[in-house]
Amino acid sequence: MTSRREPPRGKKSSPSRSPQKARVQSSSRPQHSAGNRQERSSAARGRAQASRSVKTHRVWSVGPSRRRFQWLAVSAILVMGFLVFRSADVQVVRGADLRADGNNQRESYLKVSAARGSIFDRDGNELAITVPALSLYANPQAIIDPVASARVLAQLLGLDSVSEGELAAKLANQASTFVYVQRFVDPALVESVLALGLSGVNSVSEPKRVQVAGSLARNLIGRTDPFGEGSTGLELQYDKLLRGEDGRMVRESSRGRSMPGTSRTVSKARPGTDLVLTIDRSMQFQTEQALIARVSELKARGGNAVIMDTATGEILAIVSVRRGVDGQVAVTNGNLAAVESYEPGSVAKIFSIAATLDAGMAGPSTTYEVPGVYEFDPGTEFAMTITDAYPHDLQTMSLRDVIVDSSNIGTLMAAAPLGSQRLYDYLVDFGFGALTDVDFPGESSGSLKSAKKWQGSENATVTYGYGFSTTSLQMVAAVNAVANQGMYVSPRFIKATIDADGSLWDTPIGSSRRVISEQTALVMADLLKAVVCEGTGDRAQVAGLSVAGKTGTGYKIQDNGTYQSDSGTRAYFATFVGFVPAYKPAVSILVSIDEPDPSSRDRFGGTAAAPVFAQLAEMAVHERSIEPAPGDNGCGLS
Amino acid sequence: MARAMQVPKARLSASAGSKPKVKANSSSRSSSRQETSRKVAVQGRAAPKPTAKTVTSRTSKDRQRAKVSPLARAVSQKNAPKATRIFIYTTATLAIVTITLMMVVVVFQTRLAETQLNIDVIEKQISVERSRYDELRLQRSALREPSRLVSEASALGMVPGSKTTFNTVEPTAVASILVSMGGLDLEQFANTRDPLKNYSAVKALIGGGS
Repeated sequence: MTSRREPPRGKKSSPSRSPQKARVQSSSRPQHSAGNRQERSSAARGRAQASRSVKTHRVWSVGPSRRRFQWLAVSAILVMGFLVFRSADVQVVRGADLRADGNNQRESYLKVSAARGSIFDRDGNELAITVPALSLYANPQAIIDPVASARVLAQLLGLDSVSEGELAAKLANQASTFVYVQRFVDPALVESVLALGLSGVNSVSEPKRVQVAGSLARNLIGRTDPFGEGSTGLELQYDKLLRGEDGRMVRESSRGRSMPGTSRTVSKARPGTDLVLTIDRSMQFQTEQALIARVSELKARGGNAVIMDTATGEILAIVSVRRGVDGQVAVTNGNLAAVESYEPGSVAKIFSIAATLDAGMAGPSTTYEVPGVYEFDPGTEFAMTITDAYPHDLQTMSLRDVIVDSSNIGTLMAAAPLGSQRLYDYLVDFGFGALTDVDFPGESSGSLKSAKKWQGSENATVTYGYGFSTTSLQMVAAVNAVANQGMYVSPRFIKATIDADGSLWDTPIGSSRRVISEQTALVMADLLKAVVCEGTGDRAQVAGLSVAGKTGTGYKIQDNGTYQSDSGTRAYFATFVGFVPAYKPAVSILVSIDEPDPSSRDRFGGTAAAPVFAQLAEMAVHERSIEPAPGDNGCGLS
Repeated sequence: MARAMQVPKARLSASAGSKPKVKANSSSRSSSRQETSRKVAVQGRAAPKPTAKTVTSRTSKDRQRAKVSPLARAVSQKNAPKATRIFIYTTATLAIVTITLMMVVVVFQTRLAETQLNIDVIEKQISVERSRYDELRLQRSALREPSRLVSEASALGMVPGSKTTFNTVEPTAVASILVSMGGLDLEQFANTRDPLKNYSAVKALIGGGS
């Protein structure tokens, strides 16, 4: 066919050349000469004809025609363009929203609970830990017969009729999909319940906070609520530390079924910090037992006891017990030794005498003419009759005698030259009227009015322990300042922490300051030892070891606002506070008995609390391996 | 090959006077497949033997048939446009690469899922062991609970010490005892375990999260 046509004009190709060849040549070598349009046109015509010729005669073709190819290419480009546009729209423009929608449809986020930090005693014994426990729950929407299910569950779990009714009501609540049947159930019991195959009833493992040694140090550790958050005590105070940081896990699911292998951790759980307390578990236990026994014996309302390391301020034991409505004495939930304040009574004479000595107003042998009865500001509205605990005539008393015999009148006479302001300053330095560094939840700062606000007899009564209040913790810390050669060391409960990485960090010793001179402290130790050996605190003696301490019997304010009830009775707060050994102090100890039987002879600090002090001092000697100073043989020391 | 070479000759004979449509030397460049195609096409036509045909023997009908439309025309691949060939090769290559990549991705995803499942199993084991560790701690603490120890000791007839006596030991006596014992077993002291250090080590290892 092509042989019949004239070859394109100007084209140099041979006439015998096949059309296909011409086309291949023209396509592979396009002519770009702009000066010969006609020639190009002829060539194009020739190509078109050749193409038609091939199209007509070709049986086997390796590709589409140019036009078809062009259509296909254009279509492909359009399709690709649409896909690119659509992809950009889906991925970029609406990407975030669509991704979120998709995630919401197929992903479910789970909270990975961080393990709550443990609480240890100073030797690494667990006091409170978190362990997995089983709880029974139900899906009310899957419960067939709420009443019957509640009946069966109540029988197995030992619920009373009221609880059974409440459970039936919960199971009948179709609006809910999750209700607890009972939390923290014995595993064997859970197994029994699940064996029944009750529809909609299942179990779940949950972290449970356990105080390992029962009520041991419960007053200090506090407790957590059912959801594992601290509600009282150290659990509350250090809740943020103990709790750690929950992690987050995402799991993909399809139609409610989780897809295996799709779980991934979004954020890893960070375990809580562990607390290492200054508490010695053994000492805490023995202190609790001794105090409970004594409070029970004296038919008292309660009592406090604190043991403090002299040099570091670490609280080795802190106990509060209270008689319950059932008459049983038990460790309190609250840390009353840090929360409740009271008028200290005669133990405050330690500070008045120490201030007097430290200010150089008197020495141990300075004497005073002490009357049996002292009329304060007679004839004024602040007139007050002050007496000592025991009747006596006018007698000459040295400062040593004043404190050994615990004379109120002698004390106010000795401290009088000091003046109210200076006495107040000393009391503040001893830590009264301010919170300690422990910052315990609900801690009381006590009550100490500014000296300028002291009115009338308060100027006198503060010297022997009335007119201001203090907690047991403040009191033992103040006495510890005398024991610690005049240096006040703030008490503390936390010895160390163990962070999420397992690193143990010691907590620094609390703030300290000098209150009285070392010499004054030494003199005070001698005077306080005399109180135990010769005075009102003789029942606090420990064989072979010198003890320094002071008794105190405070009157509690009654409902009528006075120290005596309408029926004429008094309520006592008997205290003994001191330190051992007197000349090489290792521990300071306070024992208070709240409202001992007023008819009993053992209602005073020297009789109610001092024996417990001796018991605790002996225990501390064993537990802390305390040795007396060379030559110290207790009250036999020459 | 020799038979295939006969095809153009037959064509030449059949369409005498016209130019050959296919060059004879094209067969030397064509592939065997194309040759086979041509052979099949020629056989299909049942062309008359060249020797038997004479100019005089051809009818006008035969000429017309040969002139109007040949039933098959062999076209060499080299005559296809170069762009088309590139397109074919590229498409084929892309298809192969795509399929290979998809297979690799499938295998990779499968391995990934398998590994994830193994990790899940191990994490579950860790969780179980951690729970067991906590339970054992609880049991140990319960066994060391002071009230339990006191009751156990009381049951064995033990009583708390009621008196403290401090004795002074002469240094010479201590020295003589040490000599008789062969000295202190320092290793025993060194092996005294600090429970807090043990706990810290475990915590550093297992981390948190229950």
